[in-house]
Amino acid sequence: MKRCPSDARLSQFARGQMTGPPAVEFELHLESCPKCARALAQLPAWSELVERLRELNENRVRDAELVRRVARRAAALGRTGDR
Amino acid sequence: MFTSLETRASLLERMQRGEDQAAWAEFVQAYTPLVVGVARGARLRDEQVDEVAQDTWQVLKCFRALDGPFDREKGRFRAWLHGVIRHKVLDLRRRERRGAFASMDAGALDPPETVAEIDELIETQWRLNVLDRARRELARRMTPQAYQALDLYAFQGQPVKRVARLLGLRVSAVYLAKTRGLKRLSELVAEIEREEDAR
Repeated sequence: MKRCPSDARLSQFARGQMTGPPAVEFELHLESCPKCARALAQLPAWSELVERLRELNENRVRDAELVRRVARRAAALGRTGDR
Repeated sequence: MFTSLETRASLLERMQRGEDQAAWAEFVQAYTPLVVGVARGARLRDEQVDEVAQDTWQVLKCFRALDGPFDREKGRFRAWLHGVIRHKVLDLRRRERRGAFASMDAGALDPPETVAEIDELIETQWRLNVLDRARRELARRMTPQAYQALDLYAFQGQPVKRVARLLGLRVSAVYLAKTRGLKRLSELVAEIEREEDAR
């Protein structure tokens, strides 16, 4: 792929709608084209996923100690009075 | 921890048969963040969060002894787990409300959390739990450096140039790590959701 792909092709790739040899060729192009790599990384298509990941991070940090404590007790439950 | 997406179904079966103590521990570890997230979201206190979790696993254990509730003719594991958590959280919320309004006519007031609200909360936490498992699987599959670039730039929101400098990468390599990582993450989420729906 010598020429940069269109915005529509970038979005198609980001949405997982490009597969097989065209996707491989596209990825090779990305490795040698900082402009396309940057454009693709900044597509709005990722924003919802990134937002959910940040929410997840906050929850996991906030609940870490409680989750550990609850999981320890639950694991012990599996060992006692089995069946 | 689950070592691959493919092992989870067999983990469930092993646990269901009560054959494998480790399977029970791993299973509980995988779903405890979900239970805690829901109970926290319903504004329960820490000891109540623990109560929801212990009751859920206790019910699971009883069903396990009765050959398990998860065969596909009887319903999916996901729907079953939702039902158990919903019942317990609603019960605690109602008890909490009765205590808070003991001197008032509580029957004349709507409960603070409806079934629909609790279901929405469970659904949100379920999706986050799937995302968490997909993220852990992604970390296992990417190179440590690429995953770190993804984590620092995309998940933690650090400036791309700082991430590139820190990891000794070109800026375009950081962009590429984000693109590849998020694309693969979306695929893993879809894969796990398909597997959960098939249970």
